[in-house]
Amino acid sequence: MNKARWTQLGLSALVWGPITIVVACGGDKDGELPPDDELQFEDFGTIPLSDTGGYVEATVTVPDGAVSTMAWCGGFGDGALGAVWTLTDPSGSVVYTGDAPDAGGFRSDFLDDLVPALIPVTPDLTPTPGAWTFQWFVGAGSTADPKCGAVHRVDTLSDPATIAVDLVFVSVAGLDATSAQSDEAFQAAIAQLESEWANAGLTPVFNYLDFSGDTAKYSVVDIVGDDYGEFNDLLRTSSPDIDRVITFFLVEEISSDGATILGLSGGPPGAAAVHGTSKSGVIVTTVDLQDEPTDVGKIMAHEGGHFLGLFHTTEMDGTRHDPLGDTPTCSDGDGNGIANSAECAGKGAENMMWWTLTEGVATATDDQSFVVRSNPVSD
Amino acid sequence: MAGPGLTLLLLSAASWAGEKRDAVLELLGAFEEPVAQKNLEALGEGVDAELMAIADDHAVPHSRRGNAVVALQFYPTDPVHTFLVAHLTPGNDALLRRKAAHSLAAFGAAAVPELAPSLADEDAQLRIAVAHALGRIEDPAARTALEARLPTESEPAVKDAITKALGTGTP
Ligand SMILES: [Zn+2]
Repeated sequence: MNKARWTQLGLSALVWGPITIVVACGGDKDGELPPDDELQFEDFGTIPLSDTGGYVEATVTVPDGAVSTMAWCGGFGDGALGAVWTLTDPSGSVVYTGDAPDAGGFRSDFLDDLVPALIPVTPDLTPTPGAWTFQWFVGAGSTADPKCGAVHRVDTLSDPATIAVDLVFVSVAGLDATSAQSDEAFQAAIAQLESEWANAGLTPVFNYLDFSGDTAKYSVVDIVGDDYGEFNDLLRTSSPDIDRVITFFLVEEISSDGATILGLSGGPPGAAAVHGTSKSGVIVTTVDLQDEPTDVGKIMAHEGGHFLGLFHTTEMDGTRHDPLGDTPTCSDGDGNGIANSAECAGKGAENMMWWTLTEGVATATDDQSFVVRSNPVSD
Repeated sequence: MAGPGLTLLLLSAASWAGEKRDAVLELLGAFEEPVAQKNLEALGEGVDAELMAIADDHAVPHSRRGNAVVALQFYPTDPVHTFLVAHLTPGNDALLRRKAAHSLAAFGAAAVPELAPSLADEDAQLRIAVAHALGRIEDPAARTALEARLPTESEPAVKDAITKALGTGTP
């Protein structure tokens, strides 16, 4: 099944997996899924950490020909926060420090339980071969010593790039992995995702799967206060057949202190090609599937963008921007605390990584395309 | 479900319809950010009426209608209270019922008699939402209602929500 050729069903959905109808194949890789043998894994084992917090360091050896590297430390508990604190390249230069998180070509925000560190998240800092030193800071409240590792993608960069997507049906009103493949609303969502990702140079290939876990628990994923346990636990169920895949869990709703949030990615960035962790995928709210199916496609495109290493071009309050050089930026022009779409028209409000839903087919820049095509799961 | 009070309220809401609608809808449609009180307040007067109009507008996608109901927690007035109780009533949209339960917690002890019966509702997700809401109300009556439901609750996810609500007293 892993090496199945692409199959094309219904509208424009490309499907792989246990499908009996093989209609078409094509693309720059002759229909093959991203091969796992282009990945090289490093395992640094468990690194001791005090329960009052501290630093964790790993030397990551980037091989020749790597287009991306994702190093990670985690499993320290949902109640503790961590981030990359320093990043030192093979020449000994400190290329990132948590003291200046918005400077340079790297970014790591504070995350609970597990912190993926992805290179590149900008074209300005790429994984040159040699020994890199990653240092993570983990705050108080950890419940276990972190395990750490890294994955390197040794490959050439394609444009467009293929990306395998597992669509896991947890709770989508009236739909399962079989019926969704011919459902008009769901396929409209998929078409929207394909259109927006095409602008970023990505060609998704889909595998439809039914969720085998506790549907009653996860149909509404509840985030209560700082407790992301249910969100993290659902992502921990990810167990795809291949490593180079991004898992989308489709639920009725993510509820954050009662409010519906449209989607949420592990990270960002997500734990690319590392599965079964609290950062191993994306959860998508599908409650609008019948009302506005293209919105669900937009959510998938946006959250998948986060997983692959993209940040909001401009945050809601207009004070923070992504680390990319070619994405438009905007600020709060009228002083009401919100950089809204009207005042940011032409300045990011059309972009896939705008903070709220966009109109039409969202755009992506060359730098954004470079980042998502470079990710270890892309091919 | 719409009594005379609610009808008057909606007529009053109509006078605001459109004025702040785009700005409010945009906040309700943020990908990952629940709508914040300060951002609604920055939009000025009349937002509560706009939220009620959006919540009842079937042309608006479900998630934003629900988030409009959630945002009403920041406007704990009598008309909003009436509106939320009406939307919690059985037979209404399941998502909006959950959101109404959440926002009713902003009314504190006064909302316990309105929330508690829904701990026995047939919709397990509503029972979870009500458990969370009662857990936010720091009043003995809320705790009593949760303790009374716990032994008879059969759904593990709801039991878990009740236990958490009793354990922390806050979300
Ligand atoms: Zn986002």
